[in-house]
Amino acid sequence: MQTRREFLVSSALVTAAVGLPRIGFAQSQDNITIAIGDEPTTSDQTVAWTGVDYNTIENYAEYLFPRNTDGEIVPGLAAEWTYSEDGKTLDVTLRDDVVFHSGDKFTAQDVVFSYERGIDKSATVKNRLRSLDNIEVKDDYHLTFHFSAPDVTFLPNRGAAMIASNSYFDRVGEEEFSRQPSGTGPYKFSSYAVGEYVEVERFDEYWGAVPPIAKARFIFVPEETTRVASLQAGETDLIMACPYYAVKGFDAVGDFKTVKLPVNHPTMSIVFSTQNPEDPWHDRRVRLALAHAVDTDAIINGVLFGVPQRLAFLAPYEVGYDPDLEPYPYDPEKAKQLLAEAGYPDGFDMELNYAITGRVQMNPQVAEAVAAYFEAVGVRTKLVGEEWEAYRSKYNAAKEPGSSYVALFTHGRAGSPDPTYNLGLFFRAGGPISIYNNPELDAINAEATATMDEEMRGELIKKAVRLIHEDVPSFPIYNNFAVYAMKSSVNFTPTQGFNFDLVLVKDMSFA
Amino acid sequence: MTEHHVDMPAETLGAEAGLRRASIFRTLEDWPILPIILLLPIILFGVFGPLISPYDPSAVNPTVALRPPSWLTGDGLSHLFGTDYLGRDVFSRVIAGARASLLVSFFGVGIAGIVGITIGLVSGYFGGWLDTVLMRLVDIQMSMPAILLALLISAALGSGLATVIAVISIVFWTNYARVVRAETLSVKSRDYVAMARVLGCPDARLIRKHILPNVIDSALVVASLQLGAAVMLEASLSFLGLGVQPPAVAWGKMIAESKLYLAMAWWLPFFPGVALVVTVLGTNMFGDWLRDKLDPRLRNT
Amino acid sequence: MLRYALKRLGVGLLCLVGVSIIIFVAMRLAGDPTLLLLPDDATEQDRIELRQELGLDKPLPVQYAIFVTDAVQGDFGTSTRWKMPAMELVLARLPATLQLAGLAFLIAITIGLLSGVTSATTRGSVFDQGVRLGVTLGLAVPVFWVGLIFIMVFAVDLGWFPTSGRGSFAHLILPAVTMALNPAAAMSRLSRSAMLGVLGADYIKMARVKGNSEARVVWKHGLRNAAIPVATLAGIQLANMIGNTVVVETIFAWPGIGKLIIDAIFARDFAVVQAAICVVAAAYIILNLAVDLTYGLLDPQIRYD
Repeated sequence: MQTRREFLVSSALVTAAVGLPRIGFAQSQDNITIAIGDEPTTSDQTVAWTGVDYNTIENYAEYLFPRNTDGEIVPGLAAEWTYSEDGKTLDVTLRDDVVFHSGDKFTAQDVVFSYERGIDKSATVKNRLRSLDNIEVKDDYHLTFHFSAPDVTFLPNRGAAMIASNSYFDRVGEEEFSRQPSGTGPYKFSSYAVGEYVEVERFDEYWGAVPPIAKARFIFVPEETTRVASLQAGETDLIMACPYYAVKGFDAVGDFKTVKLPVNHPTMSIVFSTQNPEDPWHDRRVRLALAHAVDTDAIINGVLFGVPQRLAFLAPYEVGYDPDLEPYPYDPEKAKQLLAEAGYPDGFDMELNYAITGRVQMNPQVAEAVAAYFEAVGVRTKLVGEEWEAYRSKYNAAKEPGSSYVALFTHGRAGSPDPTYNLGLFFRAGGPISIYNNPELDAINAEATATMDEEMRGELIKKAVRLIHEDVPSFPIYNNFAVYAMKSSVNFTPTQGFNFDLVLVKDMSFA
Repeated sequence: MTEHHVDMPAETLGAEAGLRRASIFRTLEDWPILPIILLLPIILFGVFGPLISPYDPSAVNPTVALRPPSWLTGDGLSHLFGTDYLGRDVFSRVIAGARASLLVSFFGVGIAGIVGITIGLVSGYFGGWLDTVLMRLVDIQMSMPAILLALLISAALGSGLATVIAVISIVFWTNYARVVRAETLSVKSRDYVAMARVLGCPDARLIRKHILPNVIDSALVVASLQLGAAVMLEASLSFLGLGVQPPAVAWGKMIAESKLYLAMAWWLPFFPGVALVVTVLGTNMFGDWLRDKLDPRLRNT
Repeated sequence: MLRYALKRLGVGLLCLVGVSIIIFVAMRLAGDPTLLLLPDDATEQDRIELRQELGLDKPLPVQYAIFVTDAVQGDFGTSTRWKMPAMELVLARLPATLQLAGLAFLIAITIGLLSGVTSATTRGSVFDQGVRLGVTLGLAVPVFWVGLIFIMVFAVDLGWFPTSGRGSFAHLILPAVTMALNPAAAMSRLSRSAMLGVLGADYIKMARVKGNSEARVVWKHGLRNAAIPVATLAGIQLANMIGNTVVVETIFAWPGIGKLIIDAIFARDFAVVQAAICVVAAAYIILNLAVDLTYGLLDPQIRYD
């Protein structure tokens, strides 16, 4: 690895060798240019549903219960709130000094409108609010949320729906409402060029602290190498989703720096269908053997440039984190021994599915490396790479008990609104992204989900995690780290302890 | 990528041989020596790859990841072309890539040729509504850009070596169909063919005995010019993530994968790139030679 | 000539129908967008409902009939990814692609013709050898590779041009040159061989004997007679350029139609793919017709009937 050249060195060499002048692109100190990957699918905060939407929208629209940069839920549009004893009702007092960018005043009616519209228009909001029964308005600044069952993810999700103005919608109608969205955020939406950029401007009547940067332009640069180049060339001040390969180069050069954010979700994992007795990996010993067979540290350091980490299951900041739980160590001898015990001294044939397109970087490289480690303990691995849609369809088909399936998958372990949420999603029998079936686990998790007391819930989650760890329906390769790269003159504090890599301009400044 | 649809118009085929030169050049023109020198190692790699290859091309060894070519660092011949991000030997992978790249281009161009020649012959010989329908099919195909067609096919069929071959066949057959149809029309109008038809010679026999031999030359020229384009299409598909899948290795895929290591490991794209250039150069030169040799109008001069 | 043009347009329309059927079926063979339109925690019931909402539960011929009925009225459906009318989205992006394709085409033609013709007239010279090598490289170096190298050298190292995006004329240069290389090589190769064929002809010798300057002989008499194959290739290239922007637009974050189509294919956004490919195919058909009609200008002997 020491022979690897720092990538800017070659740039300097080329310039020196050619002997040509370098022209720079000057940037203003008040404005910031940020390169993000994909274009948002909508500008309307109530319709937003997928990761790329929130990059820009969270700058001009807000949730009721915001998080600060340490990840703690703090008062915002909701000034105060109290849960009832049974966790089924939540009384909320709203701030009374908030105005939308359109000039409309913020009241309880806007909350009802935003939640109803969100449930109707955004599949994400709908899913987050499955246990919400109704919202009762007491007066302009007091309301009560009624739930059909206690929901421990409601606050961690910051209240699940973003707030928009009802009176603005009534005044301008559907089309203008999404063309010129109006929120309560520290920035207001100012312009949008299809396929090119979204621009936001500081909102001087913001209810909170007015941020230092006046204007921000989010440009869409889908190709990651180009995103890196745009920062190197000084055209952008900050890029999000900086690919891992470029991190070391940026850190080594004085003009740039990176900020690494352990988002932790998704956890790239090897996932097994466990219910088909015909499969060798129906036997827990085989799954355990494969977990011991992969040198994840070598993959992280050699393939992923040492950027991400691997957690045994949960991150230290999560409820129910178990400091004593260790990931399975690399031990090919033990792997071979376990395979022999399970009746496969000469290994077996297996297909490993993975996605060749999509947002996860270096997926094919990681799949190839994992397959090589499987081969090394005698498991003949055929790589099956498919485009995202086909790959996900196949994963969904693996929910059938008789299916035979192993994949490198964006699994959910650490980094969720609440650990019970990921357990229900990825490990519960019949869960939306689960191919696992373990009634004992489901019982524990159901109990944890209904337990409002943090400490008790933590103990239950610990028990559930131990169960999964023992049974190895999946094992982690690495947890996602979001990397922001920026000019050294830019200061940025991303929101920690949260499952999104937000790019909030309010948390940026120029040195 | 742009020249997939380009036919060499018949008028210009072989024009270069208009001026003949003497001595060594003459020999060079009689025998495709240079193309053979260029293509022979590639073909040997493709056929005997596993015997020549110093390492297993998919053997991973992260401890030696991204090593430069060994003769540059004084490590002798351990890794002639360096190693990639998984510590695999690039020389062995270039050799293995020859097989996939040759398979893709020969099968792709070959299947396209068989389909295209058949359709061109039938269309040109029988004419009428059959000709109209077949030529509209060609138009429809050509009005969809090659790379987009390739993406659609990959989306529908999944990706892999077989898909890449299918994509190339589907994208390339139209070139043959058009050239062969035009040649068939001109051969058909010759006196002896018209005479044979009148005398009741069966169509199939006539096509096989008299028309096919006269059009096959042009088709071969088209084929030789398309081999390089096929490898390039494979590379573009790989860049978009839809090329051949491991453990298969292809040069285009190697170059596409190296984009992340652009500034730190020049040898990753360089050696497969050289192999690609040599192959395209070789097949194009061979195509030029073939054109000079075979073009019927030239033979008459 | 008018009758010919009308007949060709009719055939073109037929082609468009063929294209639309192929796209329609191929996209639906490739799965559906519901997996990509719903968050991870959506249930199977959500998917079924969404599929009904999008009309994907109906039989294929019925779906196609609905598509055609709407399309002739100018409604190509709503994008599932961008939640706006598909054709509006495509037309908003079309100017960017036309700009890029247009400049790339000009560069390709200029470089291709100049180098090809000069190379033919100086056959065997160092220049000729250089051009032939350049042509081979131009045909053998993958577009994406050239694009990435250009960004590193000309944008990052030298800072002459922006790395990506759209805005000033400077933004246009790197992507256009990248895109032009391959067609320029093909054009150079073809014009060289077409010129070689022409230069040996008697009328060229006559022109020389008559005392015309060499430049006049080559560029006026020579090129005029080599023009038909060159124009054919140029027409095909111009038409293909619009569709072939995919890779270049991805690398340079150029907000055009090529990038839109590939995103839409990956997102299984049927409406956008259909609208965009219909536009590209229509452009191809019209451009080809235009090229055919210009043959008449280049060679008055050609008749259209």
